[in-house]
Amino acid sequence: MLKIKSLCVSYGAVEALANVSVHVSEGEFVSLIGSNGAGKTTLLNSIMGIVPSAQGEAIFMDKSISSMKIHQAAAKGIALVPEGRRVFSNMTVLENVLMGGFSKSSKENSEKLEEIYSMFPVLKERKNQLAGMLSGGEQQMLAIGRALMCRPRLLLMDEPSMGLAPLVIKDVYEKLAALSKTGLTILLVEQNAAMALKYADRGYVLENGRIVLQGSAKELLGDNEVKRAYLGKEYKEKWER
Amino acid sequence: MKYWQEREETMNVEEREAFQLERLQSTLNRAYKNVDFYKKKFDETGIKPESVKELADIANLPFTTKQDLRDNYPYGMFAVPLRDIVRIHSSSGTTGKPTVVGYTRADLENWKDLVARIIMAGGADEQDIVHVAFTYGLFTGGFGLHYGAEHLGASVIPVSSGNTARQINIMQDYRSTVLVSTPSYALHIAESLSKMGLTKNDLHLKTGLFGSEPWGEKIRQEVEEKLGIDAVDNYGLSELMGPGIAGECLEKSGLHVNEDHFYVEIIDPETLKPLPLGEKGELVITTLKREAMPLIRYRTRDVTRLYREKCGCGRTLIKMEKPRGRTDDMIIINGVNIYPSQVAEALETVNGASPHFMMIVSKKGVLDELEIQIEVSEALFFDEMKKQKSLMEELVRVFQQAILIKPKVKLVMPKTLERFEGKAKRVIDNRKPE
Repeated sequence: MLKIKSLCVSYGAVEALANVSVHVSEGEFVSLIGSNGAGKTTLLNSIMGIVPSAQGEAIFMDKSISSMKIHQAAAKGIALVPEGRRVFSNMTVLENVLMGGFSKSSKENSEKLEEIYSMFPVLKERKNQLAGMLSGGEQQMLAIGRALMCRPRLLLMDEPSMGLAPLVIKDVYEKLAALSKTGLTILLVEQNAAMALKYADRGYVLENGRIVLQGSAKELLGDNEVKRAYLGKEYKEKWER
Repeated sequence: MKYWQEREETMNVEEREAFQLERLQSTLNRAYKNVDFYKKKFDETGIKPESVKELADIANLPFTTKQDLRDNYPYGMFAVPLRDIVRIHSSSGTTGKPTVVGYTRADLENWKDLVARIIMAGGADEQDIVHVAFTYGLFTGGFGLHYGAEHLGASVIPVSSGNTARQINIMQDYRSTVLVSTPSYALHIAESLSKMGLTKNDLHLKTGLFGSEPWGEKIRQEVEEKLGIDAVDNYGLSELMGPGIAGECLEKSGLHVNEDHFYVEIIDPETLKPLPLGEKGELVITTLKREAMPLIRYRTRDVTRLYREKCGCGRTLIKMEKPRGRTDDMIIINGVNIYPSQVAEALETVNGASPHFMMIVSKKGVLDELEIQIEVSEALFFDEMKKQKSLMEELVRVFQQAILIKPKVKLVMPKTLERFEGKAKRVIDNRKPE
């Protein structure tokens, strides 16, 4: 469904992504893990067209999306839930959710809204409250609900566990797993390797803008290198010769 | 049709290529980051791991040779700290230093799966009783097949090699259904069977998984007939993992390469340029999933060709012809890899002599036999019988130590062995190629 091939992104002289190839098949839940500054957000932003890529190609549903603008990517069926939720805190929950359906008809939106309410009952309960009043976990649900309003085929999730309590993180992931079961394709980036891999089918490990490992989620969970990448630890000496 | 990992084995080629590129790129990143040898090699040649944008770009990367592994003896090629290594195998004897291969836990998991794929492709499954007659120990053959068969759920008998009569008794009593050995040992078993007054009907074998030496259709026919089995070939290389790299399915028309784990190319051994699909040349392999010891463009020295065809078994994995011949002077005697240079070095340790010698390989029954003929010189010749006898014993001992098999040693008159212009020819192979 999504195929990123040998993607390079630079911010001026700083190379953020070097030769990154990643693919997500229809219906798959794929997690990309890496520590701070590894280039995770850059990858999602590049898929969305928020940052331009220097080299490489991105193909979505057999069409190149390399030079697409953000609104075109959204129209194509890609939705991004940004890092830190980014809800409009001075708007109500309902207004926030409806913002996600900006490009759809109001009939489509009212149908979808019901679906989202049944999935996230808390959003219905608090639909008239200001989004800024919600807890972190509720805001995350709101951000996901907002993204779902544009009826995406592919959901991009940026660091959904950020700043949330462990129990709340579990809630968020349960929702994502449920969404995945309905057939939604998910590409998620995370520092929280344990959670991200627990719910995913496959995973990639990003280090300094480069993919250094990939495999089934189960494979990666047991991997020493993953533990190291996730913990951000580096062995100075590689072995005792 | 049964598969061990159906998705991986029957995936369409285009999708598999996406996996191959992703795995190749991360293998390069890890090798460059973690293996000093690769960092140096890439920096020296000015090639960056990032330069590989397509699978075909692999042609620009430098090769890795057996000598590189020896130069980095023992652990220089490892890409993980020793504490992550859970198994170490080592190649058979070699000139100078052996080659060491390490496995992480994940590598071992993959190894089991890949061998299980091959066993299943050969027609065996969890119902079978697998008789492993490969040597256990540093060789990868025994342990590789053993854990693969066990992973599959089969009953595994780790018989190891030797004592053919006992092997046959075990096969009879324990009702082994799958024989894992070299093809020549299978023939030897067939021969011993008739000597013991038994026939194939006294055994319960139905499948033979044979490897570690080249063999052809004639031998296949003979073993199949004499043991009443389906005989299939499998290919592996201890430097790259061991058995499990490629194996035949029951179509018996070439070996399926587990190309989602090993990227294969064919090069012209003279120009070192890649050859188009279907042409014959040297097989070069890049590991795509190995953690402990990634190898980039490893020159196997085996001559074969690769081709894609719709296989009756449903696997979409690329096919490889049975390897025939070598691009170096290695010979395989009863499954053991031997280089003439090992013999030369061993010879030098005896009285410091470096006389002219010739290795003569022939068939004795179905097994191979090696005779080393040495031109006598003063250092190797004594009037005293006793001294001469102990010298001969000493020669046999050092050779056996160097090449791991016991050769016959014969002294011949000076200047009677054939001389060759340029590179000395050290081997006369009288085994009939089929």
